Amino acid sequence: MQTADTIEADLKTLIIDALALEDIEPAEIESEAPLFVEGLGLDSIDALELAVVLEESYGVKIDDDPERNQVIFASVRNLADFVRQNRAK
Amino acid sequence: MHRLLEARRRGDEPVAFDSAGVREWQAFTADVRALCDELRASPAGRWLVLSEDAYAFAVSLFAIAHSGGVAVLPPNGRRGTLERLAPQVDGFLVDDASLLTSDSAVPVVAPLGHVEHGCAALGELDPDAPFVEFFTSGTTGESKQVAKRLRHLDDEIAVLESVFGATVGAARVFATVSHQHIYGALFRVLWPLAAGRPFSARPFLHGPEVVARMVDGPSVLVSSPLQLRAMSEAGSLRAVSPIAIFSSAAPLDGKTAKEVATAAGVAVTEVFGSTETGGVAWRQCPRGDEQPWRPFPRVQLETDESGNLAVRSPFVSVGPPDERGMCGFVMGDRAEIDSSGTFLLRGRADRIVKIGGKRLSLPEMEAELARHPLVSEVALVVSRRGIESRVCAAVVLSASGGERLRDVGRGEMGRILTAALLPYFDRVLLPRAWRFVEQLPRNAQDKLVQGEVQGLFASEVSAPPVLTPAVESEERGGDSLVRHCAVPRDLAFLAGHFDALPIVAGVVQLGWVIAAAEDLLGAVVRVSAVEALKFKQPLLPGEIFDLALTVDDERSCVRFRLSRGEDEISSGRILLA
Repeated sequence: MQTADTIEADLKTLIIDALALEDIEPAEIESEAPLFVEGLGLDSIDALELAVVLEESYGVKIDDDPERNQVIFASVRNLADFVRQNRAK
Repeated sequence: MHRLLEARRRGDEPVAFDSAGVREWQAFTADVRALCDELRASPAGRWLVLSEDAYAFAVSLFAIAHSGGVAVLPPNGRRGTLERLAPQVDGFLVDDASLLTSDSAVPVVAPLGHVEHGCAALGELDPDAPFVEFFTSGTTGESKQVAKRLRHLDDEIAVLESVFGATVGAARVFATVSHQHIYGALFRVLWPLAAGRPFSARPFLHGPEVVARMVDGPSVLVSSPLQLRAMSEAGSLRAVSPIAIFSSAAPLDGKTAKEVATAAGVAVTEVFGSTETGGVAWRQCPRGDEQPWRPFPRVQLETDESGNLAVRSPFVSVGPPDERGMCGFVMGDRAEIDSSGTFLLRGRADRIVKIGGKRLSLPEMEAELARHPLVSEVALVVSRRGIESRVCAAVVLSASGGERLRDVGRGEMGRILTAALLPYFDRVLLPRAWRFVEQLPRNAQDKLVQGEVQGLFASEVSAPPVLTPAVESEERGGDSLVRHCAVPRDLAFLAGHFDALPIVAGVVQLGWVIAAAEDLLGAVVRVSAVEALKFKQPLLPGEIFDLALTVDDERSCVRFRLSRGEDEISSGRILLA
């Protein structure tokens, strides 16, 4: 079983690779910082893309539930919690 | 122009000039007759014309027309291009035959240096005969052939003369653009020739050269935004006061327009057109404001259903002619025409893109970025990144932008500029990749090479190699220059030289000296020899050093010395060719 910390680290690498983010290292993404708008500045296209790779990598399904998704995608920490609780891979 | 060679001009009337002297009317007509004789001896009808010299170019065009042929102007002078065009032409009329492969099956003729054999007098040309074929790079990058009859050019020249002739008067015409394309061919060769204004035969002058030659007597400068920007930055336009400056080929940014107008004392006249349409409109914006374009006389404009500019005029040479023989052509530029008939350009139609379902005008975002004090120039492209296409930005930073980049790095710089766009654009439209480049990739006509801009984003590009010393400060005299420099620790030339003890190779030091000499002299330096060359001490990464140059009185040699305090690192003399 992976710890939350290693999932967080993996997710940071995954986000950078999947979204082809440039000029940023995984370590520079703060676990509690917002991913969207503020913080990392991701947008709605990134959310779609991230949902696809999360399903591929961890077998987690992101439903079309805006309110819930806002919580899941709020930060790397929240995303890691969601992955840990729902992962199928 | 179809009656040009019939004209009774004074034999000593100047036609063209270069550093070697003036070519007079008498010589021009003799050169045309001699070449015409030569061409008539050959069965060729379509001649590929490629000449460095604008005078030889003019002789070629008229000799071909008088021999019943048509001139084909290649899109560029590269060997591969010429080889590809070879099957489409019957002969090459070039002044540098070494550009061609030796086994060329078609005749190769030089434009000048022939002897007259007594060809019949050169009479009137048929204005409806094909005269010249240009190539234009379409938006796809594929070049397209556009033929012009003599009357297309004749009519346009008459209009240019009616609009600008009184202002330009008897000025001599200088140019920084090639005559091998329509703007240069018309503005720097054919129009001056028809109007009796002497034109510079030199192929492609660079800023400082033009300025050095423009000081005697009234002059006109035919240029492009890139060259004007360079001359403006070098401060060289302050030395001259041309009667008119023309700019075409790309939009002139407001900042440069304003600087040039202030330095040269005359507002830049921008000309808008295309190879297909010839000249369409012009404007002067001394303050660099968004100034509407004024259509040239005889040009009729409307916008089509998608907002693109549709042009009908006697100069348009493609498309079906109407009952008056005028052709119409829809340009790839979107425009808004106002009630008085002037118009504003609203960007290239192919530059409106959709990202994440949202429309974006790339020119609009470019304009917004270009207003930022850290930015000098910008080109946006759309590149597929992941599941969706994204905007990518290639940026030339301003001087302050360059300093900031060194302080904060590329990532932070991208975030600063992104934040500046955020108030105006939807988040999904913001650039996702930033490249900070020394200059944007442009071709010889000053047009952006879209493919090369795209290439910048093809993959994560590592920082460009560091090739020059970091210059901390410099002191400049008339004939001397001292630069206080540091050897960058990531200098590309240190790799492998040597692994155990990296030092700056002598040849690299010489390269730096030559580059500094070019800066000091404001010209390309051709080295004939290096004398008294000494390398006394090694130059190491991270070291601070002084690079000192002195040009001797006759400007025939440059003495240099690299030193660290009192210690000499290297010294010598560079003899200039």
